[in-house]
Amino acid sequence: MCFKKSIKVIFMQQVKNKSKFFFALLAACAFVLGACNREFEDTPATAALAKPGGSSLGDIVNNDTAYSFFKALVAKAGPLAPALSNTGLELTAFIPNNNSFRAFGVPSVAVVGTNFSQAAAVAITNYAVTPQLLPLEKIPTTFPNLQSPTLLNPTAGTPAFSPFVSLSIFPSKRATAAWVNNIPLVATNIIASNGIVHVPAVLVIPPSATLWSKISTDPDMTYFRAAVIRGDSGQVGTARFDSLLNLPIGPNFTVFVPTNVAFQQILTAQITGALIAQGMSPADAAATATALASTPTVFANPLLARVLTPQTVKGLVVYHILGVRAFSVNLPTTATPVPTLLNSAVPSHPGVVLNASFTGPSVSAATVKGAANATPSNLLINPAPAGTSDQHYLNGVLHKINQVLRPQ
Amino acid sequence: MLVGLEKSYFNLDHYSKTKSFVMRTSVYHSLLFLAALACSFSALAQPVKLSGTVRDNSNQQAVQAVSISIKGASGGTYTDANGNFQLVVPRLPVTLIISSIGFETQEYIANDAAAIDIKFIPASTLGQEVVVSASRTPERILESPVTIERVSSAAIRNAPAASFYDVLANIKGVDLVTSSLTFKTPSTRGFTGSGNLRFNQLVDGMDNQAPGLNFAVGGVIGVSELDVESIELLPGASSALYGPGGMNGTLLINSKNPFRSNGLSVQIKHGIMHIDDNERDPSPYYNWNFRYAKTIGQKFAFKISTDFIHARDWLAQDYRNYLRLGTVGNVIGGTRESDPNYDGVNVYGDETTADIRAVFAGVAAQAPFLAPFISSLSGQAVNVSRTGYLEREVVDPNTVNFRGSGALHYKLTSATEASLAAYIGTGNTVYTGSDRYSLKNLSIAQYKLELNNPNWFLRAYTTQEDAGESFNATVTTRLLNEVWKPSGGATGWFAQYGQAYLASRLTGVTDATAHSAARAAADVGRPAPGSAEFKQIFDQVRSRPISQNGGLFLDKTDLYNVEGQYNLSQFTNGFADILVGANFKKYVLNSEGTLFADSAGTIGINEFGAYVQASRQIADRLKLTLSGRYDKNQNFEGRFTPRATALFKITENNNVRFSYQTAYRFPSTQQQWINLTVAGGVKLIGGVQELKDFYRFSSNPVYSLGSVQMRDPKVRTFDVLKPESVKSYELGYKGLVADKRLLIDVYGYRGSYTNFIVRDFVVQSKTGSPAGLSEPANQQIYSVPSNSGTKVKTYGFGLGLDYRLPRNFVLSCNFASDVLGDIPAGIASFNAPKYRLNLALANASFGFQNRLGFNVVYKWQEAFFYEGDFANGTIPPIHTVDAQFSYKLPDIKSVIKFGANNLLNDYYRNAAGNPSIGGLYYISYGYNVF
Repeated sequence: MCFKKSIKVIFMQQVKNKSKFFFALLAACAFVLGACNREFEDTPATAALAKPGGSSLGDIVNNDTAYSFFKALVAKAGPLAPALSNTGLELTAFIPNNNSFRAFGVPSVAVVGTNFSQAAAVAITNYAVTPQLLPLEKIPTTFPNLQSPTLLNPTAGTPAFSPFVSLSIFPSKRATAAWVNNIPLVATNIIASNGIVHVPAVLVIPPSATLWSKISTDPDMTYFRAAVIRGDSGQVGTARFDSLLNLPIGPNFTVFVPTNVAFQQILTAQITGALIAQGMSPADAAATATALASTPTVFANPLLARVLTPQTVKGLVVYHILGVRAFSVNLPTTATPVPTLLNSAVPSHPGVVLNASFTGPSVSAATVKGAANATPSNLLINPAPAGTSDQHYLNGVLHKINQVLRPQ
Repeated sequence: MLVGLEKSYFNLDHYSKTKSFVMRTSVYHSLLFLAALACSFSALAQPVKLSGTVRDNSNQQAVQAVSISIKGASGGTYTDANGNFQLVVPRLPVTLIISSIGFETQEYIANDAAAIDIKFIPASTLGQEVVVSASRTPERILESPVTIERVSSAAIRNAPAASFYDVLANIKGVDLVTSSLTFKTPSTRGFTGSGNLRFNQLVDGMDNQAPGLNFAVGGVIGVSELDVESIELLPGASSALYGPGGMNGTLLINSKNPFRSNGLSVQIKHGIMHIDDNERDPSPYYNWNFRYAKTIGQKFAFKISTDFIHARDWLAQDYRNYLRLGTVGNVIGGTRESDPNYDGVNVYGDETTADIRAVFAGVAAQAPFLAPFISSLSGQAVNVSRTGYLEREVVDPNTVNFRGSGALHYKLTSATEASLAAYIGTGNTVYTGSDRYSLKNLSIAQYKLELNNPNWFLRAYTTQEDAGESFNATVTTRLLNEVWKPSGGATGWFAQYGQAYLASRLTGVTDATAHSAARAAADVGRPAPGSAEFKQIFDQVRSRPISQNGGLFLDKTDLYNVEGQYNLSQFTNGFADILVGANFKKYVLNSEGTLFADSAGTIGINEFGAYVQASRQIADRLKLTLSGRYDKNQNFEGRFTPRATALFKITENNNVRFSYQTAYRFPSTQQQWINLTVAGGVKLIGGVQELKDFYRFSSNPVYSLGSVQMRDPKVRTFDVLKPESVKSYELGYKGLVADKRLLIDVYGYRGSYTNFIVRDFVVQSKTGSPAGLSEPANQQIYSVPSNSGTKVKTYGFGLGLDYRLPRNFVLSCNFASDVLGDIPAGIASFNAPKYRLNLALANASFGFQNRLGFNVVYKWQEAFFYEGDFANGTIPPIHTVDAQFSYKLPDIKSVIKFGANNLLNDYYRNAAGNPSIGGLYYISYGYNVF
């Protein structure tokens, strides 16, 4: 009984019978008021977000037989698998179901343990998880996608460990479908107590090599390789694109690599034109040009050094590179200009125009058009592993195209 | 003969002023004249030496310090510690007047030189006390023209309070703000706070305010409990007589005169406190008092007294989360665990805060592939505070207070007394200002030379302050954190925190988990409280002056004051009683740049004032008094403050009083010259133009903080700072009714403040251009004193009832209310509960041979919102019970007392950020306590 309200009453009584009042009150003080002082009044604490109860990601993997392949993969990964049962975490897991494995060519749960090494299992399971809550609503619809870190840290367990190294995964969403990297999601927003599950149609494999490792070794990319090296002349360190494209962590590119034939065609045409302009007959010019352009060393040919200067060639190379990682599924369905690395030197350049057609969640055709090209160049669609489009590397994605993009 | 006549006459008049009530009618003067005549003739007769003893008729105990005076003549003496007196009278027979507060005045006719045995009868009536401060002349408390409260030494003796200062808390309308066991600030009629600037405290006529630190130090320096003669309290405006400062009241503590009160007195009080304290184990409380006074011959007397307190201090332990905005803010939800930006009220070091998104941006630049993820964490400010230390970990728990005073008194004539007095105080205590300050080895000394005559006095004194090792606990702890790990820089605490936070988030842990992991990572190397490393760093920082990035005050500010007063009534009483007085005051600010802008040398501030008071009895029933006072401070325009009072006598012992009072105060020395950077980098500066010029307010303008926060900067210009003033009307009644058994005191007042001094927050661009204001890093915030344009109105009332029951039982009740009129928030810091109540039942002597005594006091006050520079917050209702029970051992002149402050041990605070006060239980032994 704290006294605030009774004061008035007390004073009324006091007028009537003061003595009684005093004694009564003093007695009351001693016996009743013991716990009246409330020294520190409570203040409402900031409301913490209530966590959903129910199954954890680990429970889903362990108990739902639709994920038994993945469960086996997690088991194969052992202690280095992501802690999907840790309810203190907030994760988004792109967990393949059994069909995703089958689509990848793993016929049964029994062979999971043999088809994948432990290192692969660790990499795949950690690459499937991003350390944040990404419900479908939060996955952006803007070009190209959301670069999200994963729990796969290539420096983990090495002396060079850095907590800030992480392989990225690239969720994206458009009006009718959602993907992770270039793989459609077949189920989304499965809510667990410690995160969210989205299910990719095919097992998502983390990249393990660099763009340069591909470009420098692929026999159908020798012209592009030669062009990169010509463009790098006189440069050192990461100013060299052969270095940048070989840097596993940091850069994030889309590289449109014209086939060797595409290079031969444009080089032959260009050199022929130049020779005719110098007075050579068209037939001789064509023959000479064809001979010159028949080998990638054309970029280093001293005869052409004044035409194919490092700066010109570098301009050509960077016009084939985007500073983001655009899988074919990220390409716009209406022709849309997108800046290339050339824009860092020439900000007003219109860039390249991208366009893709879809069949369901998959790309049926895609083009990229250079500003000076008469027609768009086709992405050579073949997203299967070791295919021509959507070749995924640590530092970017590579699409082969059938024309050289001409910036001007 | 004519000369002799005149002399006698004047002496008589002096007598009449001091020992009786002012005599004014011509009839009375004729009588006096005749008596004087008789007296002068009798000078020819042979002197006779009388001796005797005064005993309390109720218990036969000797009564000391009883005034024995000769009726109709000058001279007199006092009884000694054994109740004995000796007096030389000019001739026989003679009539002696025997008087003392609390006893009925007697007359005794001595016809021969035989030993006199006086049976002194305790007075059974209330309201017989005489007060001096209300009109600066003695008058019955019932006839005071303004509200006044008096606490006598007898009341202190029977009070349950462990310290006499606590007795003030039970006076009606008084709020006591407890910053520490020994740091208590009384206030009346609102505007309370630690070191209240609107409430004057005078000890033996000396201003008790520490001249540099600006708080009254009554609890630290001053007189020993055994040396307190009386405490008089004038609630409300009282500048007209006591000069600037007394806007909300004046407290006057007077010590005992060694001529009157002598002998040896000792009081030993041992107690226990911190029972059931959340933070401290039960610990002892010691308070030892000593007083010795002696008269040597007829003309010389001296006294010496000491008061020593040692205990573990009450601990400020409000660990609730505080939202700090400059020096305003409020308690919010959250804890160190739940709020990364937690700033506990009594946790220090955690005021240092930063938005770690700057660290995030650095990581994103290094690891661009993390940029989108980091961006998703950076939607709003991620403010993080450094890990602080609790008050108990940084403030010395030992509160020690030693007070000593001594005085030499010499009677130059029978009426004029010279005295030389010294008062020193030193110890540890804690003060709440803009931050919490540990006043460590603070010492303050006052020295006074005084000439006193019933008609005049001349007084010169000085206050010498030395802040000792006092330090700002908040600033020191923040700097301690900077020593063991700097906040900024690529490897600083915030960088480590931000990186660890991101690293944790990259593993998928929640925000809260990442914050605690980040704190753990950044706190690696944090010295544990109490460790040798902690102590070493802390001592290093606290002993470095504030001006050199430490926490130490070097304040050695002094005050010099000379004042005098003359009562002209002897010349003018045909017309009116007239009193004139004047004073000159000089402050010498000396903080070596640690508090004031005095790094280049001391700063002097001169102030003078003069006052006059005229009072006249009109007819029998009405007494009018007019007073006026003029004061001038070199930094401010002069101020005139008038006062008018009327006392209307309804019947004998029943008076109605009405007063119009004004009061004002010059801005304090700090409000004039402070130059101190406090929590959050805010510069507190004084209001003198020199400081505004120094910070180039005219060429690089300042903008109001509010407008800068709204991104619409408005230039703030400052008018010349003016003194703050208040006008107050009061109507009251004091009277004895019900066969003089019930004393009623009731008052109501209204106050209106103009030019209320507040602190304004303004922002200056560090880049010199207004564009710089958009970046917090380029904002220099100042807190500048200014006059509020808002009129601040207050009103309130008080009611006191004392009812004398049979057998010495007294029931008391008082109830008071103070209300602040409607004004915009944040201006006033009124800090007073709307209602408060004290109830007491007491008996100083009853039972077996009247040896028992007791006193029980219940106090209640309503909740209120407290606004202070350090913290704001709601103070919940407070209920306390204080009680004491005593037993006298008259044979050995001793008394044993059992007492308890906050008997129910119900912890409470009376101001935001201040310590939690629990029960203090004590037993005391007193020898010759009177």
